[in-house]
Amino acid sequence: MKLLIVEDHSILNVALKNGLQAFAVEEIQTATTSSAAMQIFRSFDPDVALLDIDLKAGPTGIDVAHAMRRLKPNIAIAFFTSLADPRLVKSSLPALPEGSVIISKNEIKDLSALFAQIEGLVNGTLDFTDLNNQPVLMNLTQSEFEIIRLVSEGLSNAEIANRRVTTIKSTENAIARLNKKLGIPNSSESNQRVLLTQHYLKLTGKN
Amino acid sequence: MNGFTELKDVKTKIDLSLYYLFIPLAIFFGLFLEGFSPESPRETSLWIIAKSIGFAGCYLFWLFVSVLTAHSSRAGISLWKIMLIGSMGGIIQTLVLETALWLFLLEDSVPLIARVSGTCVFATVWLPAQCIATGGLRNYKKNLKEVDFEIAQLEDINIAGRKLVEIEKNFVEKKILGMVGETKIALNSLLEDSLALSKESQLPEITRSFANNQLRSLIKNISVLNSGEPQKLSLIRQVTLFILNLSNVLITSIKAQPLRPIWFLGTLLPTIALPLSRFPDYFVGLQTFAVIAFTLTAIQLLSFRFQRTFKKNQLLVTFLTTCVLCFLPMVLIDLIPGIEHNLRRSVAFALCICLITVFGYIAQAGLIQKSTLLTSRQEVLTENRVKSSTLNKEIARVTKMWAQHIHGNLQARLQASVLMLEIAQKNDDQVSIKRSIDSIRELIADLDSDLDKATESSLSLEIRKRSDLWAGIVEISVSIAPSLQELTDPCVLDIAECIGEAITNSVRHGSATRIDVDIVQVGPNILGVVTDNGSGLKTNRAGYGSQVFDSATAKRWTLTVDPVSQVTRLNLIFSLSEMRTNW
Repeated sequence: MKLLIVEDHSILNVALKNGLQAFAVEEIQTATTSSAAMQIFRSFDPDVALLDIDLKAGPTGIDVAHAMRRLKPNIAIAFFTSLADPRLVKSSLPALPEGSVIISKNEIKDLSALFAQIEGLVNGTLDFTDLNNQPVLMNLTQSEFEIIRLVSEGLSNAEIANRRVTTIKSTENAIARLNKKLGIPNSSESNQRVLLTQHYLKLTGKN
Repeated sequence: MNGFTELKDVKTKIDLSLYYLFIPLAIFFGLFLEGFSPESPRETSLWIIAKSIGFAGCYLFWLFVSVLTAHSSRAGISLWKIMLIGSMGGIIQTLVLETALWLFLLEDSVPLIARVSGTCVFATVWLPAQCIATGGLRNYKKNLKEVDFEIAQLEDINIAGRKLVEIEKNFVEKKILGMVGETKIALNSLLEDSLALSKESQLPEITRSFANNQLRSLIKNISVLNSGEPQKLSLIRQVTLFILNLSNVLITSIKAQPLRPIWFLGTLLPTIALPLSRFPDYFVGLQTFAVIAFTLTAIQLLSFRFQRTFKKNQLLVTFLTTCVLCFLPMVLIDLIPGIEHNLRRSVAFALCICLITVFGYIAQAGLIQKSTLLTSRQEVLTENRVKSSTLNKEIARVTKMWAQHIHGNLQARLQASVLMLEIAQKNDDQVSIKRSIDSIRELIADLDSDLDKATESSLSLEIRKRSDLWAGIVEISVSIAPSLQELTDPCVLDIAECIGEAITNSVRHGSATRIDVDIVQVGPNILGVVTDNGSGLKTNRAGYGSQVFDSATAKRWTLTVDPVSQVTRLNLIFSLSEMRTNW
């Protein structure tokens, strides 16, 4: 099995490479950017790609995965991310490539578990239902994902409304719905915006 | 503004207050002349006083209700609310009048219950009818010549608004030059000006209210005048009245119909209702009031025309016209054989109307004068704005000059400082404003600033930065006209941002595998064309991308999909001359 790891965090990249080499992996290559990943992909021809979704500026791991699929339709793709839902990075992302899985960084306790899932994916033996490896689609709409992200960036309601080409009133209503869905209390002792941002950071694995 | 505030606002106008003061006096004078009888001076005096007080109370209350309801109709309040306000006003008004009469123990030939119920019907129909008429007029605005006046004013407001936006646009530039104070003064002045114009735009509504007041007060006046004298008119007199009425209806219709069809109906309704209260012979009353109501409507329409170009000598013309128009019908009635001649009543009636009309004109003239003053002030302000605009152009020129020498980080720092300044200004934080201005001055003045040494950013470099991000994922071909490759204009960042966003959209939403970017200069504009082989997009869909394009190109962008080749083509037109100062 030839594995390509695309992870913008260099230390994690090296750690994964070194750790997974102990398992039955023929060869492992790593890349920290999307362009480097595509360059390596062409020469390396991996069987499976393990991609982080949030690659900072420019394309996301999902964009890279789609590009890889176009060039090699049978490549197995796994997203290794701390995000509770990919839409937390950008609400207008394309859908995940067919047959791809999301492996949560928060739920993987050791590398053997990670390798087991990668191996299962490649061999077609991975039980999606049991392992709960389907994308974690939270009960939020696309616009709510966008709003929670913008709130966490510190934008005011007016700025959010302006950015989303909508009204302040509808933004306020959307935030109220968001708070309700996420169970954020409305009390005078706490700031809902701060709680919402904290929640976002937790969902994206940054807190 | 609610009806109460509006009423307060109207009352603050001295000219209007005078008008309202003189109206009851005019009524009193008319009644005195009509009711004077040397045989029983005490009773006559009581009768006159009672009627005057009652009527004055009615009138003032009616004024309040009419302003309130006129506002309601203008504000687009629902019909049932207008009906409710009008009906309540009418009932209270009737009670005031009848209570005043009852207090002086005056007898009437018509039973009290008939008077009260009849007047109630009249008042409850009349006020809502007027309101509906006023509200209905709004729908005919395009056809009304007089509304051109309003539209012109609204246009003035728009011009003021546009200039306000223009000044605001230049506000940032002014701030950079430390000219916050001057800009604030200009903005405040413009704001005041806009507010003044907004108020002024209600002028026609106020004059409409005047007209309504006159008509209403006169019909009421006649009601009082005739209340003690039920007429027994012959058939000839009824026919004459009918012909007179018909001719008046026709004359009024000719004048009013194209302009105020609903008002015409508003006049008709109370004409039918009022005689119920005062005339045992309903049909006679109907004819009489039809004559009066429609004659007065004609006078009002004439008065509206005079208001447009009011001059002092027109006062005399108005007076005489009103005298003839009001006096003649009454004299004609009295001259019919078999009818008791009552010249005194005719004179009283005519004088009443004349005085009310003349005082109305004086008051309206005050408003016109005020309007003229405002116009003059507007001209002065416009002149000042032109001067200010020249100054702004000079500031823009200097700013542009700076912009051409400032790139990269220095520009970013300046932008950040200006943003900081804007926030401080919004919060009215004087300390932060001063600090921001100092910071900007320091930034510009400091020749050793490391920002001066910042590397310049060219168009080709900025676009390459963004296209390289997608290397390997999509094939991107960038072609930039040689003359633009090393462009270091501040607009470079905007162009690059748009191209970057276009690439992202093509890949994510169109699944494109090949994107071609062409950038050429066409006259003063830069044309950016992004084509891809993707599946196409919903054209001009609102989103972050379209917002970026709108902002950078001033909405001069198009997105098309070739139905045959399925090639998606995004055209972006950047104005170089505008963008040089857009920093």
